[in-house]
Amino acid sequence: MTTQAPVETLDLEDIQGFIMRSYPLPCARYVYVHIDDKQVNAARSTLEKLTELVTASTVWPDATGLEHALNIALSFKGLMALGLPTSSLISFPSAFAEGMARRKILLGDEGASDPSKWDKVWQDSNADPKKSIHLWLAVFAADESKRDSYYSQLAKLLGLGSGMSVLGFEDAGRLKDPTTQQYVNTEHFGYRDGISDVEFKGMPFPHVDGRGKLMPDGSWVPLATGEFLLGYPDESPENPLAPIPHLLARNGTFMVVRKLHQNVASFRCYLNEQSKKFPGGKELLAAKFVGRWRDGTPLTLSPDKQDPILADDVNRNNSFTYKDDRDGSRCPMGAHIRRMNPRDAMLFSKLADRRRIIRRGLTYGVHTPEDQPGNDTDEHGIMFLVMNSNFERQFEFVQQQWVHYGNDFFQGDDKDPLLGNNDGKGKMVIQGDSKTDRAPHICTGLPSFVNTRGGDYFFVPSLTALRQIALGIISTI
Amino acid sequence: MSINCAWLSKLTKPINLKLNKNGQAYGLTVLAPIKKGHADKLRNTLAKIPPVDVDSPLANIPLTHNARFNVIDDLPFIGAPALYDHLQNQYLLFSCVFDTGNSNASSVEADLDAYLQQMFAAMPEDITKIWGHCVDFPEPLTLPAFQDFVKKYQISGGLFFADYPDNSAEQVRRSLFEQKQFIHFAIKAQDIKGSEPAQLKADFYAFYKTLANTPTPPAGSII
Amino acid sequence: MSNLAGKAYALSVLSPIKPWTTWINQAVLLYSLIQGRISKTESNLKKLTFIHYARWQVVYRDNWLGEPPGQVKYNYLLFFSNFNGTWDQYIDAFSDVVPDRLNLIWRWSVKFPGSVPVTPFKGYIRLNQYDTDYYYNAYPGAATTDVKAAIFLKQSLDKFAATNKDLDPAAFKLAYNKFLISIQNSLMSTGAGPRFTERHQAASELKGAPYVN
Repeated sequence: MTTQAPVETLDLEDIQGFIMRSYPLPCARYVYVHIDDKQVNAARSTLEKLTELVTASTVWPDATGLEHALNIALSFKGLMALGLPTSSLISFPSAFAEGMARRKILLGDEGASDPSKWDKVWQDSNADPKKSIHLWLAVFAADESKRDSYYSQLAKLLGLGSGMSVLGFEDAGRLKDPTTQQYVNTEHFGYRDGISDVEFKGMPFPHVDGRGKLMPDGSWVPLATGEFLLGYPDESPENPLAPIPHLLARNGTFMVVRKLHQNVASFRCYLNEQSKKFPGGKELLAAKFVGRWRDGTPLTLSPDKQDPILADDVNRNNSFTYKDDRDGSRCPMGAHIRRMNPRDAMLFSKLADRRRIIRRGLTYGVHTPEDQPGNDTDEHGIMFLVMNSNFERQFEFVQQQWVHYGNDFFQGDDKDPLLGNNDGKGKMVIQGDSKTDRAPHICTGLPSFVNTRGGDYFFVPSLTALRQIALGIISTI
Repeated sequence: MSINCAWLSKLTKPINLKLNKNGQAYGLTVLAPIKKGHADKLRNTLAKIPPVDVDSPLANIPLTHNARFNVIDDLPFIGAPALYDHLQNQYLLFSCVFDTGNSNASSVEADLDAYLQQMFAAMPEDITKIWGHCVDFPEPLTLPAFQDFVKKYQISGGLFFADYPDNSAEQVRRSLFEQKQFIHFAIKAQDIKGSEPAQLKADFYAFYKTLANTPTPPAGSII
Repeated sequence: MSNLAGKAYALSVLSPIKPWTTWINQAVLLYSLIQGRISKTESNLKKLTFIHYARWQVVYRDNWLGEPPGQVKYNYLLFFSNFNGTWDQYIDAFSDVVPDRLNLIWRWSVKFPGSVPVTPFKGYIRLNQYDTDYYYNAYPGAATTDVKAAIFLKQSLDKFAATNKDLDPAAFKLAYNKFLISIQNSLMSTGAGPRFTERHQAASELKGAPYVN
């Protein structure tokens, strides 16, 4: 057997901090910046100043006392605008060069999710070279006022003569109850979010079962670093495909930005109507869609009821396999979490190890209390971020084969009930249980609960790479 | 899974054991040289076969599971220190899997004849349009001449993997069709309240009877 | 040219084998046959359920009829597969799940880099792969998993219908529920499948069957 080079420690000062984990900061502002390629020198100098503000992974493991953070990513057009040599540009993956809009068929971004229906800032970015989103800035802060004051400092850097201009920004953050102004722990559909972190070698955190990869003896170990960071061995094991020169790629990753609008009224209405037919009732139906009760309790561990103690225990709430749930009687075969991270659901957990992605989501818009029907039209959803070292092998595969298709889970063409572009025609089989003679239930007429409203593919360089891009000294010679 | 293999022990000269079957499925491989200067025309002919399977001439041979044509321009060169292999002819590689309805290894000759007979009856013009570009294609085309032509260029033996070797293409399509129909029934039946078992039973047998009388969609359909 | 027909991908690979090691390759194919028979239910290839049919054959130097004697220097291992999913998915799965089996079959091929790690392996397959000029599939809407599930469902359905005719309605209802549970993982939708390109999409426009009313 081949062995993997051990990666014991990583250069935390060189790796952008938001790759490792979500900061304990509830507010975010995502800023979309255009670079004027006629002022490339000014733009590079601005990038250099921004780089000095970028939050590195040295804030971990706790990020205590952190009041704000800044992270940066570049689109392919952004790298062009900054004058990267062609020999380096063509070494980037073609999926990245094409950008997310042109991958729409593969990603299922059709109908209401079609790029022609995206938010103006993203449509303009795809259509108008003068409005291309080149640089993605993420500001994270402890509260709104800290966010605003930190952003106003940045806005000065991006002002006249910077070679850059702000095309727009979007705010996101944890939801608040509109009456009490207290943070709630869920996204718009009422599910607890942010449970499934990924664990890879070299992360500055204590080990937690259920996050890495499953070994044949049932133990969990961290995934190979190269699945998420360029320049390190991956699960193959080999160094992942990466752009040249090496120092441009090393400690960087690729990121998907996806603005996902949530049709709150459609979701609540479907749940109410379908649960009249579903014997287990509304909360169980909601749990069956996802594979977790809305408080986060995994169905596989607790099929009959929510378990708040289990749900709050980070050492247990993500530590499970489908070994004793092969037929889906607890967590349905086509449930959201079984698709996003199948663990051992496919018999060969190795097949899942090559498709893992770092998923991050922050909600935007106003929370609709559970007792209200809500609406589909208001601006509410999730700013979804995915990080991986290979778009095609990881994110796009998950999106195409597991979200919009289900053959690997014996679900044929049936799509993810939550994320799938189901368009009123979706179907989901909720498996029954041979031990109790509970019959399976088939949900039909599933609408698209989520629509894509924008996004693109970005490169998240290391701090070294950002500095070298800013100095204009990237060379493949 | 079951695997069928004909192994050939001589160093350079094959012994043709003609064991081309796995279960009742037959794997046919034909490697025929293309007439000089005809490869581009042949490739164009293949490119113009309707891409939708149900419209394909091969859909007229219900025994066929799948079939492919590859024009081989030359042998691959994998770089020094390997030898450089070069062909003087271009070749048409045809490969298909078809049903024989029996698992009898001794009937391979008759099985192939029977399939080629169906092909000859189903798509005579297409046979000429395609293999007419190959060396020694019989003209005028007769069934025995076509059978001899295919056998002359057939490559036999090897390891043949089949995941459902005992099911005919017709059975596969019928099963897929009934699966689809049954799912539709099950969805409707789910809405019949538990208090109506008599209704459920009546509906089920009515459905089952109708299903039995409904023909299978044609070969190549998306079911 | 299209390597796709519905949900199936046609892979065709010719890789050179030194004539004096060809007999080993043949012995390996025989060994695989015997092993396949002994450990039928254990076969990882079967558990993967994404290959309808696959075949490994040796094309000998004198199988290239029309070539002058001595023209072709190598024998060739001809590999055909009819599988579901993307090219990358297929090669990845081979490399991840059955690397030893693959090495055994291909290691006699000249300059075969081994099936792990996957990038050199993919490079080797790409180099020796022949694109399909025309590919036909008799049931383009079904993956291998779908086919096997449908066969299972139909057999179960016929059995259920035949054995429960005389039950009283209440007992029939119970039997029907048990039947549903027994086939609950064979209730997938079949059809056009995952999307790749606009051309592929256009070619797989539904020509489906109407429902029984």
